[in-house]
Amino acid sequence: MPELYTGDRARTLASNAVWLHLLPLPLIFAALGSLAGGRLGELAFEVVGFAGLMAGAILVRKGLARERDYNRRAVARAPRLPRKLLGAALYGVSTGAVAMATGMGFGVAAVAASGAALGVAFVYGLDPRRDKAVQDAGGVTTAEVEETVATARAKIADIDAAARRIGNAELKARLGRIAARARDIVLQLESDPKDIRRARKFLHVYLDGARDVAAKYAATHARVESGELEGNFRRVLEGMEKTFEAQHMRLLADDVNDLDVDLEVLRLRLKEEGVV
Amino acid sequence: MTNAWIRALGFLLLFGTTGLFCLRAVGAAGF
Repeated sequence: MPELYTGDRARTLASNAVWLHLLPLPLIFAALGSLAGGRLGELAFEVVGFAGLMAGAILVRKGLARERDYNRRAVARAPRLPRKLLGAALYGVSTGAVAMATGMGFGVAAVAASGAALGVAFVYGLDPRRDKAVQDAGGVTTAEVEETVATARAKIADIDAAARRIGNAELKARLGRIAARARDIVLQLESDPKDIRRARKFLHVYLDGARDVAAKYAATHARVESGELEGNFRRVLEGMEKTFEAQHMRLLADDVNDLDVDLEVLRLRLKEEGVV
Repeated sequence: MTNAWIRALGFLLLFGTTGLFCLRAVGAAGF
């Protein structure tokens, strides 16, 4: 089971590659000094070194972000570009350039370059290389799982976006809970993709329904304040919360009963309210 | 070696190379 939504923040701070950005800062002063002294050769090495070090640090940071994402998912492809490795190499080469700027020979610069590259690799590690494929998926392919999950996440993001535009705190909170529940369902499907086929209707019809209702309400409510509209929307959301919760429970319980039953109830409710 | 030791060694390498030469560059520039 992959980690749920929390617990990343502390690690993020520690593994943000802050040091890689801090170490080159003295070079700004060095470059100013070289410029003032008119030593342009030195200046060139410093500028190139500084730019390379910062770019390397950014690459490592992006690699770390990718890795966190990879670790959080139950099904994931290894990143195509080995960002951390490339970042470490760039950091090494740039350190070599800085060493040359201080008047070191090529040999010393090469040693410094290797040392720095190794240092980055030791501190921040290497990129994940193996795809985390679907296990025991009951005929569902990794690509299928990835696509389904990505689509569902995009829809959930739309629901969140609509919720942000709604002023009513209660309705906003309800939508937030619905989105959170949907996220749990997606995560559950990701770690147990056998259920993806069973949950297809949920993923396609009801997630779409939730997104459309939210978007529609956010749009109309910006123009008119109507108690009736609000009441309808509240009833729809209540139904949705219940249905999504029931879906989640069923998935968790590996309930073989058809998931479509409560969805059918929700569909009727949506229809009654004139949403679908 | 444990991960913590490898990380420590990595930091040592980083400070001993990038850190050192960046500071040396400041010195060489006449500050």
